[in-house]
Amino acid sequence: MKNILLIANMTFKEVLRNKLLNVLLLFAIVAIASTRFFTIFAPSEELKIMQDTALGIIRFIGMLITVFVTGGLLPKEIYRRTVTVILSKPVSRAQFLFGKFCGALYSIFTNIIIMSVIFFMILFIKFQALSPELNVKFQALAPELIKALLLTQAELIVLASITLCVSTIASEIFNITFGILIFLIGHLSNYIAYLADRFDSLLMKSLLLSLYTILPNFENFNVQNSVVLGGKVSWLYMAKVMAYGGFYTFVMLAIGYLFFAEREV
Amino acid sequence: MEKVIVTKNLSKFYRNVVGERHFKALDNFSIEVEKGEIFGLLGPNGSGKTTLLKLLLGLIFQSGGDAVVLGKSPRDIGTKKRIGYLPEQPYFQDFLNPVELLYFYGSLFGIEGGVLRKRVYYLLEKVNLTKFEKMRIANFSKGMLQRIGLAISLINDPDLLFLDEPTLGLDPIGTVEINSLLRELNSQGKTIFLSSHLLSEVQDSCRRVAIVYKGRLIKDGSIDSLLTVKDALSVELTSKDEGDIEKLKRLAAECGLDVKDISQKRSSLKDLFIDLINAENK
Repeated sequence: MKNILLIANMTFKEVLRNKLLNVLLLFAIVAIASTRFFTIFAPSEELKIMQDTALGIIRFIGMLITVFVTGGLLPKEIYRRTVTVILSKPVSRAQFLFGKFCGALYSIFTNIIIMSVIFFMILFIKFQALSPELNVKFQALAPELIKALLLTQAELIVLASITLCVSTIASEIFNITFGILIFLIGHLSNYIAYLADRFDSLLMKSLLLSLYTILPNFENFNVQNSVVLGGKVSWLYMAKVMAYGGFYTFVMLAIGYLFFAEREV
Repeated sequence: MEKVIVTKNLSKFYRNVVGERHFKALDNFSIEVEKGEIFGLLGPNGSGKTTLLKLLLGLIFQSGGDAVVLGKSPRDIGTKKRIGYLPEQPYFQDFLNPVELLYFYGSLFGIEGGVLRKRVYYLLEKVNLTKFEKMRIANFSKGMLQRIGLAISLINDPDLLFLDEPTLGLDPIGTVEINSLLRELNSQGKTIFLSSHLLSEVQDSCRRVAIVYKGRLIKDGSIDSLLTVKDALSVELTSKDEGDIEKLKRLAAECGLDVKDISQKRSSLKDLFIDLINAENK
């Protein structure tokens, strides 16, 4: 366990120095901060547009940070041969892989938390500017926004596990491209099920249904529209989605380990 | 004598995309390394030295044969606790300084607190990096990287040390210092497995060598047994007069000896360089 934490800490320190990720975070902060100016396009829907845009930015930039962090972790270690030094020490391949994953999660969490804090600050200021009486409404909305952000975080954990799994056998560029594609397809997976219904061919139907089953359904993690329109997200739904995400992550890490255990470095 | 490394018909093949064996990196390689010796693995670039080291460290997996390190599989975590490894052209987390780096690798062995601190500063002194303890690894020269790599390989006070081209990138002074450190470690009972393509380095440091070429073991044995020329003698005499050479030739002829060559002894360029630098530093 101690070795996992040591490798995770080292990974986190390394990721913090990644200039591209710092630029992405800076871009996200500026974009979130500027959402209050978008509201001039629809004065009556100001708060909804702010929430919708900011949550979308956090999910999209979070996705980019996730695939860039996890996609490069193993290929960089193998290319620079630092992996040979670490694995010649009493560190198992499982500890190394899981340590890398945990280090990536630290940095993804940190980025999401920073973006979320900026979002809440901007939203609170906007509520105050419109009317101090809206404070009650803000207090009711905040827990639902936090739930939406927690689900975004869970979605990014699943995406990180998929990208890391692929990175045990593929190059950095492939991992990043694959991660982005999986994110996009994962948000369209309900359409895959819809398409399967529309096909008469049994072969196509089975193929699409298999794809629908295997691919992660990231729409399960997306409660953005519901929250922005004032809906509530039940804790039972949260638990179900988290369990689904946890299972998917476990399977991806297990497959990644099986590949990495046999990988020559 | 206890054997710390035993390989029997160890082979490594790399396959092409259709699964055919297309490159033999190591072919039926059998050696035994005894406890407490400095063993040299000598061979030209691409002969299979690093492949053998990686097999012995469990970083890659054999296609055939068997390897035992310290009585166990090279992949055993218990084995790894007792070994040190310096890779060829080492690269480390370059955003750290040498102290942070040694703390990280020491912690991976479960070494903690005062023991780790003492070990870190002891090793920095041993490899002459104490005055660079605050410098980031990114700013290290090739020779300094080699030195910190050696310190990392010694952080756990290993019983068995694997060194892949340990003096690559070092100047002659650094090479002498490293070789002297290796002899000191060996005198403490540590077994050293040294892989190099530098003939003089292996000859100076090792008691036994194995010569590998195209993945095959072509010769092994003690340095003495391999290098002693049975039908020739080497004589070193103190001489103050160039005429002594002629006297010696006559003397040898009178004794019926066939003299091949008698000439003034010459120092090596390496020895001259080291003597000059040492004199400047005094």
